[in-house]
Amino acid sequence: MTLTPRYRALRTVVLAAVAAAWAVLLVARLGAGTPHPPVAVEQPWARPGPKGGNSAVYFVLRNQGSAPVKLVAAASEVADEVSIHETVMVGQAMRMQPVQGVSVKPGEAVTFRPGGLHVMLMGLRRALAEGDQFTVSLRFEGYEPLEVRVAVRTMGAGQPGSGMAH
Amino acid sequence: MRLTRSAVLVAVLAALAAAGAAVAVWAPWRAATGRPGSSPAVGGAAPAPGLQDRQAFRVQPPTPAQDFVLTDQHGRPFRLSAQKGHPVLLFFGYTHCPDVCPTTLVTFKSVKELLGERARNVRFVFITVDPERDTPERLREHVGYYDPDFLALWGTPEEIDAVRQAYGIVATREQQEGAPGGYWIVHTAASLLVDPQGRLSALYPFGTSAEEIAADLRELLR
Repeated sequence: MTLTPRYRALRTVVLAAVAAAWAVLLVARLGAGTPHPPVAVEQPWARPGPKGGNSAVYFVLRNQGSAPVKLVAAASEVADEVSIHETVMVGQAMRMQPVQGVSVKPGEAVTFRPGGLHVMLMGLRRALAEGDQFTVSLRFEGYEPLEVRVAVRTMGAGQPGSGMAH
Repeated sequence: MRLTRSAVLVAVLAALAAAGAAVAVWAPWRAATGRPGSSPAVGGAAPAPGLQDRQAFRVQPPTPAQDFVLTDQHGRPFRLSAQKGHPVLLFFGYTHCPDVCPTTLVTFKSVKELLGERARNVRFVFITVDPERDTPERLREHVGYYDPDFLALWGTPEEIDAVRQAYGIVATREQQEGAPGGYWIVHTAASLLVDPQGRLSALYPFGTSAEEIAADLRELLR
């Protein structure tokens, strides 16, 4: 099939216009209010726990953006209740304290670890055994929720004796 | 059996004071948070307090551990003085505890693994400080999940209170919205080691590594 040069030029222009429009729409969509949070959630892990019991998710939360970010909520299908808590030491005693939000400054990191900040899983809907994986959804103020795959392990970052407690 | 305040209590309290400076921590913490149950936001990159730089406290010389009788998760009586010849690792906790108690049970499990065959001589004991919610059945399920060889002890609230007070263990209920059943228990998270002669020989603050505890046990099992 032969095409006139004129038709070929016209086709090129139309295709370019469609591509440009598509690119503009894509960028607009990405920029519309709730982009992904500029964070890295490093080494996410949770401890094993029996069905009906409790567990907690730990990780290193690093802000890779240029503005502060604030973790305000968490959700997961593996537990009836999911919330952000901090274990606070009072002498040798440990007290559980709900946390309204965890702010991380640009370029900095906050470690969630046993005996400190944690995403609490209350009322496990199934037993978590070593080697299992599940998803937890972290919500940062002003961003769409971030889905994180969590590995069930007896030892992880911040666990006493793991050699990873930094 | 009546428990009396003894040298054990004094030793444990001394250990607590030395290791934790409880009053010094308590006062500013109260001042900072206003009231128990308040919910301050956590900011910045400050590390969570408590986990690092926790040193085991050895009781020198070891002092006789206060005897007690409670019931294990299988309904059998557990008398401390009947364990002579076996080191006993004691931890006071509760099954609704989501962070500290499971962490300690996992540490115990690691200790057991590190000791290999010799772990058979060690009694790993979890004593509930929440006897109203922690039924023997629940203890069997929840403590047994970590290791069926671990012993989980319960008793009446009065019996439990007498034991923990004899060992200087604090446990107070704190009502909080969202807590399972409406309350958490603020409790001492240290583990205690009773040697094969029935003497209190060490106190391990929360966060003490399994390696360190296993090393002490190896010494006692020689």
